[in-house]
Amino acid sequence: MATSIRNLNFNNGQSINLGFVTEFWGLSGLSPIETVHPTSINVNRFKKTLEENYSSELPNAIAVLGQTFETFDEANTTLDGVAEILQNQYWLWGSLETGGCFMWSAPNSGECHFHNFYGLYHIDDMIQGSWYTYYSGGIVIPFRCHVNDDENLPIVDNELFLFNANDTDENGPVNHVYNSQLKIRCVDCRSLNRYIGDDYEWLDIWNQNQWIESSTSVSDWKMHYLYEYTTDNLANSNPHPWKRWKQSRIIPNIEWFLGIDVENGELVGHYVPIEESDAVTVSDDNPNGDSSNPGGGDGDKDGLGDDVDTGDAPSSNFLQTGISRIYIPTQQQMTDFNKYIFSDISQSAIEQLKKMWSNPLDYVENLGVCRLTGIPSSGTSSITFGGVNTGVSSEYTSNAFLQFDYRLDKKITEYWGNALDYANYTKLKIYIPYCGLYDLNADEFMISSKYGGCDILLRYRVDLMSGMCVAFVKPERAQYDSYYGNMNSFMYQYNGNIYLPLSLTATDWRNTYQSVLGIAGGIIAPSPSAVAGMAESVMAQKVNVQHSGSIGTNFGYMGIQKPYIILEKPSISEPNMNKDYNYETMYGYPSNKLVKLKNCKGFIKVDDTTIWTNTIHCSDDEANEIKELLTGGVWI
Amino acid sequence: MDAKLYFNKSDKRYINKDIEQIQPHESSAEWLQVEFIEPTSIVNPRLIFSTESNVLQANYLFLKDFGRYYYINNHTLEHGRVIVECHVDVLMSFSKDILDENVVLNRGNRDMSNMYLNDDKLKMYNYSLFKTINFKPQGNVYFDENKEQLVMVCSGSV
Repeated sequence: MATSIRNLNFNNGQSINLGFVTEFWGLSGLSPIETVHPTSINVNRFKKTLEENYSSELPNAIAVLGQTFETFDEANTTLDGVAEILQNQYWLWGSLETGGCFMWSAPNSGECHFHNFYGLYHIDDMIQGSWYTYYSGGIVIPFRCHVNDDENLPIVDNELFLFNANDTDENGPVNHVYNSQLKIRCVDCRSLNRYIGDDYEWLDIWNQNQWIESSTSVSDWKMHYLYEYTTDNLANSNPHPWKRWKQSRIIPNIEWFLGIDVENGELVGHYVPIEESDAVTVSDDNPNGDSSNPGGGDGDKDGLGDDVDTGDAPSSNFLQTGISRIYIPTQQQMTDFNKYIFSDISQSAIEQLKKMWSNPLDYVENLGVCRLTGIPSSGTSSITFGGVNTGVSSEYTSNAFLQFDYRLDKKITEYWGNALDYANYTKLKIYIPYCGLYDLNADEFMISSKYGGCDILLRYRVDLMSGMCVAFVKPERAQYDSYYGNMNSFMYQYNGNIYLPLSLTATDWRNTYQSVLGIAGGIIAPSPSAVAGMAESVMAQKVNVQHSGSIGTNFGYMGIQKPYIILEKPSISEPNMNKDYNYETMYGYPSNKLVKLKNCKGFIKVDDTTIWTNTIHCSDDEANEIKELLTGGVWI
Repeated sequence: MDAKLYFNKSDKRYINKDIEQIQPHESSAEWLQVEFIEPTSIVNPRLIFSTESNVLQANYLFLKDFGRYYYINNHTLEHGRVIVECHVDVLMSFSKDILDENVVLNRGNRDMSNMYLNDDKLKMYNYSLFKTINFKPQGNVYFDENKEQLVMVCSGSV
């Protein structure tokens, strides 16, 4: 499979040819330490190599770029290296079938203060290796990037160009990207469970399905991006000034950057900061932690439940008894049917008698018109009611209950990426044709695009006998944490009626039959008074078919036929700030995390009850002032 | 008592200050000799400087014996000397101890943040942003505004 990128270029002039060899790069000077041919390496070896060379400084991130990964072979796993991580979670690779790119991050010690690239794998040719049954077309890039505490370092020392194609011709540096399908996936480490190996703590990415795939929903991601570069025509290997292709510069602000997306010849680099809270945090406010007991209660904090499904629509077996039949006639067929109903002496005497002795409306249980398309036909037959075969053919359906689904055209994702995306700040409504416009709880449907966003499954179940319908609403979002719980159940249901009833009232038919009976008198020849009396008696027993109470149906029929949602979000006002003086530096963001202050930077405000001044060698007045200042906000 | 004079360029709310030492006139001595006005307070000392000390250029000082940094609140000239009223800068003076503290942050930078907590600092406009998203049918059965489908349910159709 083709290599996605030809070279990986470092700003210090060194580069790696991605197509053929894999090299590990050390921390100092980025000098190559080991060269391995891709056909002989595997991820396990990668880790062992790192252990040998960087025993205290493992990479904290790995990116995989490439194509398709397939099933990892569980039988061949061992408790060694990365394979250790994969034990019992071998199926992860199967989740990479689209795009085949991902990143994992494995912060372990929190002592990462370097901007260095650790190593790179080209696994293009790896088949039937020791640990995998098959995978192809990928580049595994383990790397370590984090804050550089020394702000005085010249920027050039902090620059790292990831995934940069670079080459040289007689005119100088040029770039080439040879594959137009390069994608990348990454995952936010914060939501991941931990897996403790023999020597290291790894993040369990394998159970996650909240991957960000940079090739989709780009517009929704921009809030999370720090940079976005676009260029064109890369697939044609046209030379460009190489700086134009700069993908990412690791800058000292404790953020991880990763990303590239080449699609249809367009390169769009997306850089998603992956925050590593462990590097600076003693503990966070994750209530899953066992170090505290927030709220004081002793609940088990088990947020996992069962998914609630609608099950299958009811069976329509009773229709096979012939009790009822649901016809779906065309307009012409309905016209023919009406002609038959209103027919007079041209029909046979027996049929006329049947009409006289029983009102056809007794046997027309429902007649309506709807805007539903695609009602499945079970065949064509002559419309028959009350034992009378009208001779008018029509399609009919044997499905008394119809079930069909809608999904959102575009998933719901966070807009601000903060509390404002949730209720009561954000409001969510759903319009369901024939049912109405209803409020939904935004909390149930909101999730970051980092976790794939939230789809909504709108499921209709329609009773074709009556036109009554039930609409079920289900948020479909990833289940990513036992605390946040699952949200993959049908949470709402509404009802309505999809038929616009036609005016087949008993009165109409009575009038019709009274006239028919008058004409028929000469044929049957009973006394007019007797016939009239008999007819009155029959009419008096009619059930008066009323289609009232369905006024909502009329509205529904005239209303919008496409369901939709309305999202209402608050609009943030921010002072006109710049790079140095912005919301973060002036106000800070809500935190509620336990930290060692030396690990902090910028503006902080401290919760006063957590300041223990007994370790500060000062007077009581000074201690009080320290508390006052820290709670009021200081800069580090 | 030994003292060093500084010009402090930082806001008082910075734990570590950006300070620049001020040398006395015609002297390259590292430390200045100053006197207290007794009785004195370690939190709010009053010191006597000579006019040659260049103290009028300073807004910040360090007292070696107290091991503390001080803001200079006021200069008073009196009989050829300068009386300086100070207040201790607890943040700078005890910065090492403070930075070793484990605390719970109410607010911090992005790396310390939990953006899903309510932020009472955020200002919001009095108008909202709206977005509508359509649903799309997942099969062949759906509501079609251009469709008129008659449905008739009959009994006795055997």
